[in-house]
Amino acid sequence: MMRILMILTAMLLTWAGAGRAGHPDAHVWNMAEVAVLHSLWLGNLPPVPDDPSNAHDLDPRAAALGRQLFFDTRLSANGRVSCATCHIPDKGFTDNLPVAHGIEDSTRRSMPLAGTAYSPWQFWDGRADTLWAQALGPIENPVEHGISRTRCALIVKTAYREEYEALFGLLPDFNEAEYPPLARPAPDDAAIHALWQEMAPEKRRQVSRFYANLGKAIAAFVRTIQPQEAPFDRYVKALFEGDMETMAHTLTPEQAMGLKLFIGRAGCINCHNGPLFTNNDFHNVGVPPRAGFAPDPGRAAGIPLVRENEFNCLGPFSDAAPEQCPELRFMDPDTAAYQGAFKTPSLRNVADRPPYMHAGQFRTLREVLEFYRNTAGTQTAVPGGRPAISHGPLSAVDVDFLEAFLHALSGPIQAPGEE
Amino acid sequence: MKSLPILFVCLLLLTACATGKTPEAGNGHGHLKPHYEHSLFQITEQGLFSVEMLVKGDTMTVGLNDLDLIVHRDVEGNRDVEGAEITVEPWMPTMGHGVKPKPVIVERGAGLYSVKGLKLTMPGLWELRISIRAAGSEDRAVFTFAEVEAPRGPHGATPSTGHDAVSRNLDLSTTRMSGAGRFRVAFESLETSVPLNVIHSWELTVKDQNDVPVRGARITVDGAMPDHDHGLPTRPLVTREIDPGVYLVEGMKFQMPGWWTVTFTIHSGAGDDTVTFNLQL
Repeated sequence: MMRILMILTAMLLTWAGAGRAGHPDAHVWNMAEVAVLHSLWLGNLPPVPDDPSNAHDLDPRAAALGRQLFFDTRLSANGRVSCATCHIPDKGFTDNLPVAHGIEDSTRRSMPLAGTAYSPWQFWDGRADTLWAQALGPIENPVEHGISRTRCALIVKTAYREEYEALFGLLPDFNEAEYPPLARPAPDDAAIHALWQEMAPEKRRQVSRFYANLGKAIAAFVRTIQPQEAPFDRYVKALFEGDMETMAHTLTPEQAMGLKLFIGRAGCINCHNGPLFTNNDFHNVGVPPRAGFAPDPGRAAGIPLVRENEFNCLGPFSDAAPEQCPELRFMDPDTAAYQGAFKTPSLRNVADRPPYMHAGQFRTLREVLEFYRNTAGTQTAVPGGRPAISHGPLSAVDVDFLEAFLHALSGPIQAPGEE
Repeated sequence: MKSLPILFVCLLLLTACATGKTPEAGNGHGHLKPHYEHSLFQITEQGLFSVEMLVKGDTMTVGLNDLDLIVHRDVEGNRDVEGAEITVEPWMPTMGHGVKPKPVIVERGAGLYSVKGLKLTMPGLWELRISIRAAGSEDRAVFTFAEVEAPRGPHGATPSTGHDAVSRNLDLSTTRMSGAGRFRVAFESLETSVPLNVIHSWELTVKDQNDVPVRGARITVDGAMPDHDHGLPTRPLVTREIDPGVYLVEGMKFQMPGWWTVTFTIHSGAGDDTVTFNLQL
């Protein structure tokens, strides 16, 4: 009896497997779908836009200096933290932790860097509108690098003087007597803030000008970090060429079914659109706060921060004319509408970088997809926040397909000259 | 479907013409000239052959296409090119790719060749690169089709993926009368189309009922996605009047595909009114 049951079970499994592998229409696409697939294809990604706020972003010497600074642990309070501590090249330029850990734990997950130069907003809350302002944020954050801009000036003066001066001109005579190494604008620490305020305005301007240049060099490197072709892109190219054979070898029927859901009933494409699978906008999708964490206002806090950020596109250290900063000039200032909203992350290489969401709330892609499946689009994580989820009914098998498809978005990441 | 009778007449004429005499002589290319008014005609690059193309159904569409080629050469006597080796390669110059499946080419005699199953895989700019090898010489011609579109469905609409402005048959015109009929308003994106995820500007033209530009109006902008309960990711503004009655709208940005509405509220000496445009992204 047991034996018969086992045979029957085996037969059923085989039958079910055959049925699933069949999906005779998995690789058949209608014209509207082809147009959407074209819009997601990496071959459709324009060249990295020039950043008018950074006059050095295309200079290979700036990128070379930026690369050295990116990996330099001297730019930290304990001599052990660099940008690469949380943005690890082998891990898709992020880490595998729920929240970033520099000097201490932060409150949000490290963002991946590939393709971030395309985004008008940096960080989960968009509190920086330039790539160089982004690079400067963690350096002075006490829980990340935990070092002041003034200390950075003293370090660069001895470690990178030649490279710096070739790009930005002569460094001022930074010395510890006139430039207290701890001095920085410090809303978190009154004593340190007082040190900064006691410096002459001209000296503060010199240090901040230097600090902006440091960010511009790092940004020149970070803009070169770009995603490369993934199986999804090879599939779409084969589709354009009418090459069914390559299509069938590149994505499994399950992955193709997942792609159909992704651009159709599952509604993923609403926010994960374009060749980087992100609209770079901010949405409250109702993710609960991390256990033990207070609710995070997200973009609602980022709006005033980016407007006041001295390193923004309209600020005194920007190389852009005001009309070259439309994103900041026409930013939606409605903080109430952005309570609990976070930036849509790119889905390229997403399967390689658990955990997920802005505080690593979900350990696996499966958990993320199940969360979305069960989110109808009516609840919000923060009172007053607006929901931003919309999709049709999804079955457990649909979730299997979507998960399988997301693995087809992993490709190499290019970072010229990385260590 | 007006193309069907035309196609039928063409098919009748093709054989007759390709086998018959073409007595007219003397143009820039000797005896090479088209036979049909609605055909596409080219002299090959080195001037060795002429290629006349008749597309079945009159237009190239995404999917499978059939066409006829009439190949002549510039010599006295029999100008029909017979026994030629012909290849037809579709190519998308802007995308840098072609199409793997090859069309079937059948010689039907007297310089007439039928091309069947020519596959174009997506909308956009296509080239048909035709090479001809006959009587020991080889030459080529490139036909360009600027805007190949998807075939029209039975109801004349492009198939769509879901609930959107197209399937709802919404008015997508870019010129509309305002709600109370006070203004005639038109918008134009300063990009080539209305892009997704790119901040850009529009020009808004406002005229009154007598087609006179409305100057000095105060205009506010509001965008919405009716299916998604949210608006634009930006706060666009009318920043200046470029020409009389033509206003610059800066900060337009759309972050989701689907049905959008953009509403302009216009305050002017002639009164106030609003106009709403539908967009499908």
